[in-house]
Amino acid sequence: MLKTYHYALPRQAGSEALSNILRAAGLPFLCTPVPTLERCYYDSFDWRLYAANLLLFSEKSRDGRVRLRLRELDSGFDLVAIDVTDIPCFAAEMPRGVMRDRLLPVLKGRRLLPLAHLTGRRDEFRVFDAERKTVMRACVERHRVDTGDRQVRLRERVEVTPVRGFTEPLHAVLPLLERYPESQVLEGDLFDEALQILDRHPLDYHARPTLKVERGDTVGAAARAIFLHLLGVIEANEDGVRQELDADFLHDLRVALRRTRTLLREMHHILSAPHFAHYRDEFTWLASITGPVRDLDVQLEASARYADLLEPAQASQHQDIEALRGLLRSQRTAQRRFLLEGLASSRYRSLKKGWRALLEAQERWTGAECDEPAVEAALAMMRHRHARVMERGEKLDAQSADKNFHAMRKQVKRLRYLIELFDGALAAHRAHGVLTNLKALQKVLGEHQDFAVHIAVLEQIQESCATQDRPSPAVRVIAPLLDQLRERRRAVAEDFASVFSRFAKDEKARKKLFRVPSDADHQESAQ
Amino acid sequence: MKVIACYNIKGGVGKTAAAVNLAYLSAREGFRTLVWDLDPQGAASFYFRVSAYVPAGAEGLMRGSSLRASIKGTDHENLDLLPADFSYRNLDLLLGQAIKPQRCLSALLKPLEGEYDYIFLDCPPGITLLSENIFRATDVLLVPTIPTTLSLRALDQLLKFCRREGLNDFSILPFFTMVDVRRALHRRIVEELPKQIPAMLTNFIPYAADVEQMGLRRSAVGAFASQGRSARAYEDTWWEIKMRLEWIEEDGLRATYAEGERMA
Repeated sequence: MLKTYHYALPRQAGSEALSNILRAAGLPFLCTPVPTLERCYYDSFDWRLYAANLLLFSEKSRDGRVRLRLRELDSGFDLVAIDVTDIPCFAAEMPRGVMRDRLLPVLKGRRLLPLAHLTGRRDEFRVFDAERKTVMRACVERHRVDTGDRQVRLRERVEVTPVRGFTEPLHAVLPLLERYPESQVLEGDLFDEALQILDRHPLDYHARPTLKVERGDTVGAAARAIFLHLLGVIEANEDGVRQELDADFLHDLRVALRRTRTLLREMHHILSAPHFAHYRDEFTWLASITGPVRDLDVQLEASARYADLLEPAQASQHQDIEALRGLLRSQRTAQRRFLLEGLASSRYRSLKKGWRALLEAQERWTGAECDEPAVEAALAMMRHRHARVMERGEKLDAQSADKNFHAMRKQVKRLRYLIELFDGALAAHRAHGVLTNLKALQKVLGEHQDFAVHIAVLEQIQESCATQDRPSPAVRVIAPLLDQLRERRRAVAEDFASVFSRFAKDEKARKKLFRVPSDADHQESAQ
Repeated sequence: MKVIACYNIKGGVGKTAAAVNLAYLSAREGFRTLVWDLDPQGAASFYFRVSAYVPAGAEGLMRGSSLRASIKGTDHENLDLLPADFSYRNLDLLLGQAIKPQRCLSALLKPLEGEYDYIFLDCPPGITLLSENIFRATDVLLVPTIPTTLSLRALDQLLKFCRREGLNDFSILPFFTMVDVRRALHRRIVEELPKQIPAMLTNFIPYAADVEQMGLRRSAVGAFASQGRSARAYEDTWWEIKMRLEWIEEDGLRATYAEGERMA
C-alpha cells in the first residue's frame, strides 16, 4: 500500500536539507513555497472520523482560499480536497460530491468541532522525470499549535509521498533522509503531534462504559466505577447541550442518565435508603427536564417526512405541515428554556456534587451488601429483569394501551443496559444471542413509542387549537396525520407478538447468558 | 464503480480529449479515477506524460495478474492511468483466443471495483471484438461526434449495430465535439439532431485552440486554461453526464436504438 513517510529534521534545516538530498539523488525537482497557512483539524465530539481512519482539516492560505482536505489516517494519503467558502458545521451542509458522500455516513448528525489550530508554512516539492512528469511529492511543514495561551512550535517535518507506479525516486530518497544527521523517522501525522501538545487523546470519549468488570470485583466497586463513568458522560455532554451543538449531546446525556437510573434501581440495596431515595428522585427530576426536548427533537426530525405519510392529494398541504412544524419548534423552544434553567440550577449542581462525593467516598461502597461478587450480583439482576420482561411481554397484545407498551419498553431497556454494563464480567460473546433478540424487541417497542408520542403531541395541539378563535392552519393537517400515525402504531403493535415470541423462545441464548462464566468463557471472549 | 467508455467508430472525433478532460474533472472533484488508454497510439498516455509502455504487454494484461502493477499515478491527485502499449494492436487476436471472447474486458475490470469511482476507457476507433468487449464492460458509452455528415453516419452505424446485436445493458450518450458555430451545417446539425436523439447531451465542446494546446502542454485543458471556453464546456458536459448517470440509476433510463433508425 502506498503511504506517506514522515521525518523530523533539525530545526530550520528542512527545505535546504531536502533540496540537497534530492540533488544528491540526481532527481530534478521544483519547490513552491506556500505562504502562511492556518490549518485546523476537525472531528466530532465522539471521534467518529478518527475511529473511521479519517482525518479532516482545513487550510486557509494567505490569499483567503480555504481548502478542506480529507486524509486517510494510517496511510497519510489525501482522499479528497475541496475549496469552500465557510467550514460546514455538518456533513449534510457540504456541497454534493465525494467529500460529503464519504463524511455523511460516518458523521451522520454529529457536528464538526475544531480540535487543533495550527499556523505555519509549507514548501511543496515536486520531483519529476525526463518527461517532466511528477514521480514523487514531498513537502516541508513548519507549524505552531495554538494551546490557547501560547503558540508551541511543532517539529519541522518532511513528508514524502510516492506516486503510484514510480517507486525509484522514493527508494533513492528515503535512505538519504534516514542517514541525514539528527533526522528521525516519525510515526503519525502532524495532527498526532499537535494533539499530544494539547493533551488531547483520540477516542477518549465513550458514551458507554468501557471498563471491564472483572470476576473478582465486588458489586460495590463495579457499581461505583460504572456510576462514575456515567456521571462523566453526563458532565461531558452538558456544554454541547447548552450550546446546542448537535442533538446527540442531549441523546448521550439522556442515555447515561437512564443507565444511571437503571443501575441505581437495580442496586438500591447497596446504598442507604435515604441516599437511594434522594438520588432516585433527583435523577428522575433530571430526566423530566431533559426528556421533552429530546422527544421534540425526534418529533421534529420525523415531521420532515410527514408529507410522505399523507395521500398524494393531502401531501400538497405543505404549508399546513410547515405551520405544524412551526408549532413543534415553538414548543421545543419553551421546553429548552426549562432545560437550560434546570442545567443552570443549584439543584442540578448539588445533584452532581453530592453524587460525585458519594461515589468518590470509597468507604461507602464497602460492607456486606457491597462486597458480594459483581458477576453473581449482575446475573441475579439480569435474571430478575428478564423475568419481568417475560411477564410483561406475555400480557401485551395488539390492543394493549400505550402505557403498557411503554412500561414493557422500559423493562427491555433496563435489561439491555444491565447486559451491556456488565458484559466484561460476563464474557461479552455470551450476551450476543440475547442482545440480538433484545435489540429487535427494543426496535419494535421504540417505533411504537415514537408513534404514541407523536400522536399524543398532535392530539394535544389539536385540543389546544380547538379552543382558539383563529386556530393555526396546522390543525387542518393534524386529523389526516393522526389517522396515518394510528394506523402505523396499530401495525407495529401487531408486529410485537412475533418479535417477542422469538425472544421468549430463545432458551439456548438465555441459558448461555445466565450461566456463571467459566475460565474457558473468559479465554474465548478474550480471543 | 462506473465505467465510461469514450468511443466512436470514426477516428479523430475527440475521444482522447474527452477521456482525458472528463477524467481530470472527475478526479478534481475527489472521485478516484482511472483512465485506461486502450488505443495503441497512446495519445492519452502522452497527454499524461507517461510512457506508452506496459511491461507485461497486452498478453500479460489479459492474464489479469499484472493489471494493478501497470497502473501509474498522474500529475493529478486521484487520477491514475493504465498506459497504452503498442502490443494492444494485437488485442483482437488475444481476445479471440479467450474462452469468453466478448467478456474479457469486463472480467479484467472487476477486481478494480472498490478501488475507483470512475474508470474511463479511451477506445481506439473501429468496430471490432475489442469494441464488443467495451460495450459489455461499460455503463455509459460516450460518443464524441463532430457535426458532419460522415460523423453522423458513423453514429448511425453504431446505434444500428447495438440494436442488431441486442446490446442494451448500457447507455449511449452521444455529444458534439469540435463544433464551429460559424459554420451553418454545424449549427443546423447541433440544433436538429438532439430532437431526433433525446439521449444526446445538450452541452457540446466547441472547436477551440486550447484543446489543441493539450498536446503541447501535455495536460488536461482544465489544468492550464481552466477559465477557457473548452475547459468550461467540458465542465458542463461532465456535470450533464453525472446528471444522466443519476437518472439512469434512479429510473433505469436507457437510450433507445430505434433512434438510430429514425436518423437513417
